[in-house]
Amino acid sequence: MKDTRRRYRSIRCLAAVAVLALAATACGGEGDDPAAGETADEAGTQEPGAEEPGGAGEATGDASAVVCEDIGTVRFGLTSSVSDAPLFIADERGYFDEVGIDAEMVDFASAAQMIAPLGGGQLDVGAGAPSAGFYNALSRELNFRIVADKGSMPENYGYMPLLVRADLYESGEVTGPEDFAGLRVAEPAQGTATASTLNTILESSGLDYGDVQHEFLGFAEHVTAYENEAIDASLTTEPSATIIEEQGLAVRLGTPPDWYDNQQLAVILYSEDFIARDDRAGTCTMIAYLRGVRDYVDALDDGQIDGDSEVAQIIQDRTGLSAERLVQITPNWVDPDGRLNQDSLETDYAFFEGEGLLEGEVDLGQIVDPSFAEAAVAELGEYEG
Amino acid sequence: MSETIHRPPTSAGQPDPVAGMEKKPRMNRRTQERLLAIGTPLVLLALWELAVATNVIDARFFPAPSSIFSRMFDLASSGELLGHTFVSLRRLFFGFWLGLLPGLLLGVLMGLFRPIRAALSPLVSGTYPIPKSALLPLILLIFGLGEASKIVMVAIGVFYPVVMNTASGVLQIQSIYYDVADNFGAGRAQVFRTVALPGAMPSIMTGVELGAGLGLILIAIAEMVGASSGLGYMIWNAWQLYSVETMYVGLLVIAIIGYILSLFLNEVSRRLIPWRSDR
Repeated sequence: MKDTRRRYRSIRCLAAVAVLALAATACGGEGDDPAAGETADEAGTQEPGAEEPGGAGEATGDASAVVCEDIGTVRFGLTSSVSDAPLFIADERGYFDEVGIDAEMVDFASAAQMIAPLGGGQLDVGAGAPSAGFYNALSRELNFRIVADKGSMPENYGYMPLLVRADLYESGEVTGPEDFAGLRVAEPAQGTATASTLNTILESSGLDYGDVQHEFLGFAEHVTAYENEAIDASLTTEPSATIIEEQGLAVRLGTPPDWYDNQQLAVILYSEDFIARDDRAGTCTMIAYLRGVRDYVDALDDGQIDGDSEVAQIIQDRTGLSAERLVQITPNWVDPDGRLNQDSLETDYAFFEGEGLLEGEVDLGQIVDPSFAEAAVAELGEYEG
Repeated sequence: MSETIHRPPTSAGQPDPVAGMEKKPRMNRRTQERLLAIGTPLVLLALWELAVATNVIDARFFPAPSSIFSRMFDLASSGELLGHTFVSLRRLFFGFWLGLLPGLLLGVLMGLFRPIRAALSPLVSGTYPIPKSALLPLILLIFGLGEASKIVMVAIGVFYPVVMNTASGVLQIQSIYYDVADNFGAGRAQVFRTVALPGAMPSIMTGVELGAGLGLILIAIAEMVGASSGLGYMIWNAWQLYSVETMYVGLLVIAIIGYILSLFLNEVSRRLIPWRSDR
């Protein structure tokens, strides 16, 4: 009897501990990093307004006061795609080490999955496309900032071509986006920058976004979708676009720069916790990142990656792409000084708003912060490609 | 209903200790259980609401139940929720039968006939541990992005528990029942109908219940890829748009469907297997 009572008491205690542990893990908003709770004061330097999620006008990056050493661990979220090349290069060539950063790269299936960890402080730096989900997270007070270019599409760098199924093109049924009415067009998800790209293309061809049937599929699934003739057209990113064309499944009608020049397709994000914990970390991270960007840009040759370069080897090693495939695909462009195309961000934001996908209002001026890139450029000098 | 306790008359002058006392009615056990079943989730929801209100949990990731129900109302009013639910239920219905019937048939055959069991058991046991969600790209390749791939996913989920439990159920029938049937000159079809199937029914129903649950899980997963409707799509799309309340609504509706399904199957089980004791 006593044994039974003792056993039940133990079970009750264990259950209580389990409930408390569950409740503790549910208290989101703070990362595991003990440095997450540090303020700018504790880091020894104080930037005006640095403790508050300030606007772009409040410069939180300042090269002149920054000594890049002993920054500590910085967690980066990646999708391990070719567009992460500058981060791979910076990591492989020790640029992060040189500024005292222990870079920890975390893989995510998509940029959407980075939002919660970024907002909750479990991730310091994210990389992805500004989407409706991204802005909705910001309106829910998951705080992070857009700090630098990570992928844009000027001429020759349209790495998300517009494709149409080969049989439709060869029959003459579809020769351009003006023939897209009623077609099933694949995009990666609802409310992405890709959707805004498609909208711009359709509008310039006399159609509306609603004139086509939208199929939301991951880029890798576009290959299967063309094989099954489940879609008629798509905006597909590399390397899937090249694979589709090689298999004769679809034909390239054009690239986004033909209709929407220099769209800001991917950006670097800093979580507010990361900015607040150590005001050097943001600038020093940017210095290393821009060095990686410049090495990447140096390996580009008129819309192609130089297959013989060390940069190409780094990209192959980190993404698993073959050397042959790497020189076939259209790479993304990254501004060597990290400059953002804010007009493009505003265009895409207006599209999301028009489609009713935003649950709250976000002031872009408050979340776009070019100061870290500017501080890094002040340190490195302007890029002279 | 109250019950008056009858006692023999007491001696004169002595008070009757139980005079006027009525025995309190005891709550029916079934009623108690129903109250617990309803009350427990309500208490948990109330605690959750309180935890959000007092900032014990982060509302950005765990919105208050009141905001979830509010979103649910909006989605129901617009017809969006009903549309997605109907699509998922339709896929579940067809997938369920597509998985159940072959599973039942193969399970009985494996249970009754040794050569069939020897031939198919390794295949069933070997393929069962393959995560069904990992098969999704292959299924999309074979069946395309339309309804067929979603229904097939459900069917696969239902098939395995049904075939394994049916075979096991038939196997555990004591041989004496077959001997008696044989002695009475029963043909194979009669043995199947009057011995194997009823005897294996408890195991079969367990398999059906497990299969239905797995089918519901898999339809949600299947609808996250290459779908534009269904509860799985609604959840995935809500995550893409960071519409957290909508995501929770989807999860809640799936939970409700799962519960209703289990109640329904319990009732079916009760009618098909009246001899199975209810503990």
